[in-house]
Parts: sequence; C-alpha cells; structure tokens
Amino acid sequence: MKFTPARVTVAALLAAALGAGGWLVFGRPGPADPPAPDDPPPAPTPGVPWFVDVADAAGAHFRHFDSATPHHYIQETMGSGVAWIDYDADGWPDLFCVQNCPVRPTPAGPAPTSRMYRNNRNGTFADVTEAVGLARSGYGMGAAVGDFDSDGFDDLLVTYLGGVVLYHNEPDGRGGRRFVDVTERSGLRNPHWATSAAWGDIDGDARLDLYVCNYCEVDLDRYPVCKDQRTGDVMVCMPSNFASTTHRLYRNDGGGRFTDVSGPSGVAAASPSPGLAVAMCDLDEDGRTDIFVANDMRPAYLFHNSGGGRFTERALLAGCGLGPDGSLVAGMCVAIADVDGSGRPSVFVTNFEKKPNVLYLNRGGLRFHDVSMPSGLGGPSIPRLGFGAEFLDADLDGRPDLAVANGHIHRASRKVLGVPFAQPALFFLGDGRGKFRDVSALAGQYFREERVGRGLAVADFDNDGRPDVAVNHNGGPLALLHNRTETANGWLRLDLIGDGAKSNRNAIGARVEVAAGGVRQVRFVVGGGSYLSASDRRVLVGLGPADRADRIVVVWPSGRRQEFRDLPGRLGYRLTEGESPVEVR
Amino acid sequence: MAHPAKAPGGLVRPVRLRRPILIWVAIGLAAAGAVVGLRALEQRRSRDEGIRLALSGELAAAEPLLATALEQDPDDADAWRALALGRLTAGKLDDADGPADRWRALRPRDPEPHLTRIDLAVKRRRLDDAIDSAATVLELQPSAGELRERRAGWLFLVGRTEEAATECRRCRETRPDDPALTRLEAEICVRLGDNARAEVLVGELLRRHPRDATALTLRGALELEADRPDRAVPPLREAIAHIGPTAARARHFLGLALARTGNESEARKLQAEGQVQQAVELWEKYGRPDTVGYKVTIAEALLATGRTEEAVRLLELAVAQTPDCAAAHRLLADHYTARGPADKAAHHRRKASD
Repeated sequence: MKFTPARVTVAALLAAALGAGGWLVFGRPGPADPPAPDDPPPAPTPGVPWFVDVADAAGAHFRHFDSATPHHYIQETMGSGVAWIDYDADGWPDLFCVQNCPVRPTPAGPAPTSRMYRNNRNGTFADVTEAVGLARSGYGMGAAVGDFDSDGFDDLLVTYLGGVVLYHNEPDGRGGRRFVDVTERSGLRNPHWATSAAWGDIDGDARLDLYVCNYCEVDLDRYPVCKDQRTGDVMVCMPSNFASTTHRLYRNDGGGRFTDVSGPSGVAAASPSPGLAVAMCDLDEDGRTDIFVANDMRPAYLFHNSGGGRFTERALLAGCGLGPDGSLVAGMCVAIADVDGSGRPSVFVTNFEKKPNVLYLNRGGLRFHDVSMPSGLGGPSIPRLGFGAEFLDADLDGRPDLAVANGHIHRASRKVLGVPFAQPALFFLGDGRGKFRDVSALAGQYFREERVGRGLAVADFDNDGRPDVAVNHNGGPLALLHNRTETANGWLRLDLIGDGAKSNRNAIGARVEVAAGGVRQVRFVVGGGSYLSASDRRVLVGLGPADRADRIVVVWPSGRRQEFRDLPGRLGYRLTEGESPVEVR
Repeated sequence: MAHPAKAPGGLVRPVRLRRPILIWVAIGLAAAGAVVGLRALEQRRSRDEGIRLALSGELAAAEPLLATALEQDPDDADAWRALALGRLTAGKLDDADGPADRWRALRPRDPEPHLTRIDLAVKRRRLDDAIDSAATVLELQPSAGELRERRAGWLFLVGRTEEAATECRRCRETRPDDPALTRLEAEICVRLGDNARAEVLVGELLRRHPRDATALTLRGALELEADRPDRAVPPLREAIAHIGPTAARARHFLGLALARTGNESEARKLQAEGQVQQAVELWEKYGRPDTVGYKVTIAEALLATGRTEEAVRLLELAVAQTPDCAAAHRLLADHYTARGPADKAAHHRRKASD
C-alpha cells in the first residue's frame, strides 16, 4: 500500500477517533451530582402555631455539656431537663437548666454547672446562677419545682446520677432570693441514679410529698461492652442489662423533714424498673392523687391511691402498663391532659424509635385504652425516639396540642439503624376530640432542625397569653421557642393557690373546668410530667373566639368546689382557695 | 548544471518537505490512537472480568477491578450493578448502599436496581427506603401485586397508615378474598379508628376461616374497645388456643378483658406469663448478653408465674456475678421468706438493704 499524505492523514484521524471514542466510552469522568434542592424557608401558615427559637437573643446561652466517651456509657446520652420556676414570685417564670458533667469526673478544670436564668420581664433573661447559690457541678438529670414548706416561694429539687439535692428558696438578705441546700436536714436520701421527680400531696395533709424515679444501677468499673451485632459498633447498653432499684416516695412531715415511705406506701412492692418520668394527678377522679410512672422497657406503674398513704400498682390491669397490642414501651416522658373533651385526664408517653408514642385514653374507673395510632400521635413518632413532651394550647383554641422533643440515644444510630442521632421535634395540633394532626413542618424552623432533644417544659415566659417552650438538648444549646402564633383567640391565665390547710399551696391535684362561648374544657394541675423537667404550674386556658370565661369551676385538692363567674379574657388571675379572684399581670 | 523543474507557484520544495512530516505525524497519531484503543480494550476486559467475579461471589477479587473501571467511567451502570449485587450477596450491606444508589440513578427506568435497593433496605431494617423504591417499581410495573402488598405491609409497620390503606385497597381490588389482605385491611381500619369497617372485615374472615387467630384476636380487641369485655373473652381464648403460648397480643387483650370482668387473678397470671416472654425476647434480641439486669428481670417474671426453680437459679447467678445486687437479694429474700430456710431469707434481706 502506498502511503500518500491523504491516506496517512485519514488513517491517523481514524486512529485518533478510535482512541477518543475509547476514552469517551471507557474513560470519561462522570457528571457532578446535581445540587439538592433547598427547601423553601418556612413562614407562618394560617391556622398553625408558629415558634421561633429566641434563646440567644433572650440571653439564655445555656449549652448542655457533652459527656461523650468512647465507651458510650448509658449515662452519656440521657441528657438533662429544664424547669420553669418563678423563684422570686414576681409573676414572670424564670428558667433553670440542668447540666451534666464528665461521667467520670476529673479534678482538672472547672466542671460545668446547672444554670438559673432570671426573667427580666422584657423577653430576656439574666444568668443569676452564682447569685442565687445554684453553682453546683455534678451529673445533673432533672428538676422538680414545688413549695414544700408552703412559704409562698417555690423550692427546687435537682436529681443527679447518685442522688438528689433539695434547695430551699430563702431571702438572700438583700431583697432577693437564694437557694440553700437542705438535703441532709430534710432527710431525703437516695444514693441512686435519680431521674424525674414530682411533687404532689399523697395523703391530703396539704403538704407536698415527693416521688423520685430511679433508673438503674451502673458500675462503671464493671461496665459491659455492648456492640451492634451486625456492624460491631459500640452502642449504648440498654437499661435491661443493669439491675434496677426501687423508686422512692417521701412523705413531707412538715418542718422541712421528709420520711421515706416507699415501703409502707406500697411503692417499693412494685417490680424495680428503670423509671424516667412521673406525673401526679387524680386519674380516677376519686379525690386522691395517683402516680403514673413511665419505665424504660418495663411496664409502667400506675400507683392507685387507696387512701391512708397506701398505693396499689395497677398499670397492667388498668390498660396503661404496656403499649399498643401489649408491646413494651421505652417510656421516656409522661404528659397528661383531657385530650378528648371527656373531662378525664388521659396519659401520653413517648417511646423508642420504631415504636409509636403512646396515648392512653382515660375511660374512667381506672380503665385506659390505647389510642396511639387512631389518635394520629403514634404514626409520625415511629421514626423518632421521643423524650420530653407536654400538652399546650399553642393556638388558644381551647384544644390541647402537643410538643415532643426527639433524639436518639445511640451516636452511631445513623450507620447502624438508619436513623439519625439528632432528630427534629414534633408538633401536633389537637382537635379536642382525641385526634391530632402532625404540623411539625409548618410550626417553625426549630421543628425542621435535627437536634438531640431531651428535657422539654412549657411556660408563657413573656406573659402574652401564648405558651412558649424550652428544650434542653444533649450536648447542644438550649432552645427557647417563643410562641408567635397569630391568633385572635382569647385566653386566661390562672394561678391557683391552695389554702395551705387542706389543699397544698401549689394546688397540685386541682381540676379546673372552664366554660366559655358554649365550650367546656377541663385542665389539671399536675405534679411532674415531661422528661426530667418542670413546666409552669399556672393554667393557661385558650378561649377560642370567646372574650371571657362564663364560668370557672375549680375542684381544689381538698375537694372543695369553688365557682368563679364571668372573668374577662386576656388577663391573668390569682385564684386563691376560698377567696375572690384577683387580677394579676 | 541542470535544475529541477519548478512548478508554477514554487510548490515543489514544500511538498517534498511536508510529506514526510505529515507521514510521521500521522504515524504518531495512529500509534497514540492505537495505544489508547488497546488500553481501553484492556480496561474493558478487566472491567468485564470484575463484573463476572462480583456476580459469581468472588467479591474480593472483583472489587479492585471494578474500582479501576469505575474510576475510568463513573457512569458504568453495569459495574455499579455488579458491585452492589456482589456486596449484597457478601452481606456487606452498608457498603452496598452507595453502588446501589448510583446504579439506580443511572438506570431510573429499570426496575432491577430499585428491587435491589428494596432487598437491601429490608435487610438493613430501613423500611422507608424500601417503601420509596417499591413506589418507583410500582410506577414502572403497576401490576406488581405482590410488591404492592409488601409495600402496604411496610407502610403499616412504619405508621403511615393512610397510605397503607390506599395500597391495601388497590391490592384487594384484584384479590378481594385474599385472607392476608383482608387481615391487613382490618388491622388498618383498627388503627384508623374505623372500627365499624374492621368489624365487617373480621366477620368476613371468620365466616371463611373460623379459626383465623388474627381475626379472633381482632374481634376480641374490638369487643374490648367497645366496652364489652365479657364478649371479648371467648374469641381471645380461642385465639390463644390456636396460636399457643406465643400469642402475646391475644394474651394482652385477654388479660385486660379478664381484669374488666372481675377475674383479676387470672388476668395477673396471664400478664406474668407475658412478662416472661417479653423479657426473654428482649434478651434474645440483644444477643443474649450475660448481664445481671436480664437475669434479675427474667427471674422476677418467672417467680410471678410460679417457675421458682429456674428463677432462683438465675438469681443465684446474678448475685455471684454482682454480689451487691440489691434487686436479686431482695427477690431471694422474698422467696426464702415464703419457703424457708429463714437464715437464707435473713441473709439476703440484709444484703438487699446494704
């Protein structure tokens, strides 16, 4: 063959084309992945509550300590609670944030402490921890608020890994208040892993008694290694690996002294279980305070108050010991409200991921019926691990809504279980007839963010009539969710004060029935609730379109029934047992 | 001296000079092209071998070949397929995820990568992924009835009950008498609070299959919810008789029904049996850990059912493992207090209160 220039050029071009084709077929780099479309920024939706996290702007710069270690001890991701306490009794709720510390404390460096934020009455807070005497380190878990000595100022119980500390609220000698540790002289002794606690009057003597949940007994020196069987990742050991201890019930003897009555009351007769949440409320309307306790992967307790300081555990028989179809519940929180307009307190409990949160509808006579799924609360919760939760009427329509904090306990949960460690919180709108609608995606940016939510508590901290929410996050910053729901609905805020003789001053155990605009609603003053947390005790009532309450009937813990008529809305009232209502800020 | 002829325009010299240059350039290009082409062919052969090995279960040998191939061509769907299926077969589920996703993105209209993702998701207990992929396959193959039924079941499990209802109804359009689908729809109706419809479906099931344990359990549950516990008892007893001792759900409802009809002692016994079963199931779920907590929990449940020998054996193991385990000592103290000897009871009582 003769190599003419034309032939050579054609051959070269063919070869080059083949090479290029080969490169195109076998060697071309792929296109970059298209960017994920951004979600549109959320904006308020008519008819849906709207919350904005104002923690930073309000000066509540609390950040929960992350006690992570490679061992992934069970304590590390339990988080802490948050408590609303109007410690200076000025009518503006202050905020106490409970803090963890290293699981194995080391002498080096200052340990983090819980923080107290005083409400500046203008939407901001000031850190007064040192000034009020609460700068104490330790592995803090939860807090319970109650005026145990009936002096008109709320006291504070803080639970720790290894015990409880009771702080008495006293004058500081400069016109302010301070907290004094009175644990030892009070007789409270609980050298266990205390979690949630609740105040309530168990024996009708007008003094607040105390229930303390204990979780499990963990020996760090003999800590088992728990790994995922499939991936080999170190995971949190489930509480069932550890022995549990009995919970504690302390009777308030007056004079600042308490007696452990766990044995004689019947509480210690219940099977020791890892308790995480407790609420005190008269569940069967017999006039006596009962105790509901959520246990982690063990049946719940329902301590029915049979009078004389005696309780009988009846949860399984009553239908609120187990979850849907008799499944075990990893009970993390308790929230109580009349969700269906029956006038009876129903019980809500958060649960583990892949299990629904549970709503036990109270059918009266100490009979509960699981309506987790039909209520609409169960389904959306299945991909989440629920912790703190509270009912609140966010849009003031007279129907309880629900906020739920979520977050996994296993740091490797995404890899091992396919669910994130940090998870968005949930918000549900209630219809007042026992059904709820998940509106989380519309309730504000916070409900779209992934956080490791733990303690959650509700209070109207700016006294604008709309309930706000505080959430403590494991290893993260506090969220202070300011309720900015646009609504013309009316409201009333009721601060109930028992007579201190037959009813406890905090009126824990009171039942409040409000009739407004032809609609009746029932609220309860509950001791404890949520997870490791304490909500504002004041009763915030949404009136819907009504501008006043036609009638309010309070059944005090003493059993006294008192009626108040024609109270104008958009105001706060102090309702003192046996007295006329007083308008307050 | 003769001079070469000169063409008009003086082209003779440039032609003579350009020809060898062009030839060498062309040869060079040809050689380069050939090298590239041969290399590509070699790569192709290596990639094909990687695919073959991956699909025949030799993942370790296949992975480097496929990695090279995918470096050369990240859009090689067949190579991603081989890598995904090879890892899936080898049980490397977490590692199979990425290749499966890539394969699916490259072949969005091919059901196979979506079905593989479903397989992977089910094995990794990620039902939301399985549900999404099943939806895609059903768009491509709307008549895939079996997959639609599985999707309905998954939707039910993850709590997306309304969607489960829609999917289940579509399945029942073609198989109205299928008992599994009828059961599922009845369960869905209960979850949605449509108890009237659930009653109808349960009635249908029991007419055709009088011993259907799920239907009997649901009938009992519905009677209980309707506040007729006395009418709940017979179908629940029957369900337990058919299922046997693992009938946890029927036993739960029967316990409640008995408690509400005043038969608390039998209710407590049933609930205690349920506690044993749940404790053992939990222990097995987490790989039977040798920890004191499980021993005490299972022992306590056994004691409540009267299985004292097994319980005491477990409790003795618990105190041997953790000598200061108050919960175990307390249970042993209670046991020996009831049955003797008294000194053992006193010993454990003392240890329990230490």
